[in-house]
Amino acid sequence: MEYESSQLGLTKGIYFSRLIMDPNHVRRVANMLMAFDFERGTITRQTTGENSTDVTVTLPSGKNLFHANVHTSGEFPFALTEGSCFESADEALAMYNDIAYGFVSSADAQSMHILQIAEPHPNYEAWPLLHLEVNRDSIIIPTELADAEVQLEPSYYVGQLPRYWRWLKTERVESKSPASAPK
Amino acid sequence: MKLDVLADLDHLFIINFSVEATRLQRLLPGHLRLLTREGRAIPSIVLPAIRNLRQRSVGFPKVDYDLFGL
Repeated sequence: MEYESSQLGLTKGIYFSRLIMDPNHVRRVANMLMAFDFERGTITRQTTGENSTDVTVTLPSGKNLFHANVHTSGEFPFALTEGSCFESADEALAMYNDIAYGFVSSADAQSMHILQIAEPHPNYEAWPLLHLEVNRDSIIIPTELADAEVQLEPSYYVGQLPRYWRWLKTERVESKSPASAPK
Repeated sequence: MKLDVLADLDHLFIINFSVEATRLQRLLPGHLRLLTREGRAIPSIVLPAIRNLRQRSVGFPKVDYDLFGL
């Protein structure tokens, strides 16, 4: 997404429309102290073979919200997934490399919370995004996208690294009407 | 409260899709603009596994957890 931030100008990042965490005390503390509103859910990662993992996100009702079997590989593919909207694997990688912010909207959509990946700033030469092979037949996608025509795009993983995350100042969302536009 | 947080990522999976942009638009607040390619928007599933989450200034105890983000 792009957001016209009063602190940062036009900024590219990920908007989180839904967040889920295991039902433990960390979720409750995070919900109290951070802008996030984590739903209850169970996230499991089960090794199914060499470099192969089953990832499952289950809601308290028992419904599987998401599932995928993924395979990590050190090799970056030069070919795209069939039907991709990108023209090359390098072009896709460049787009995802450039993301350093996350956005969380307040419940009334009047304020925007901004999470900065502060340190290390995305430095994908030192810690590159690596190719993540996703087993297309294994995917269960979230309800929000269930009736859409969904195309799998190049996916990635990163390994162990420290991340310093910083909440920037919460911004009041500006109205786009001329009468209230900033001067 | 504003918290600067240091998190050691055990690993992070980013699983990406594309869908018709109009289909995704309704999930967004109006002040965010979808980045699109050929009329398609690009949602991601973000799955960080975090070890040793620490709050930098007040000595928040270390915790481990997994997250799911859409």
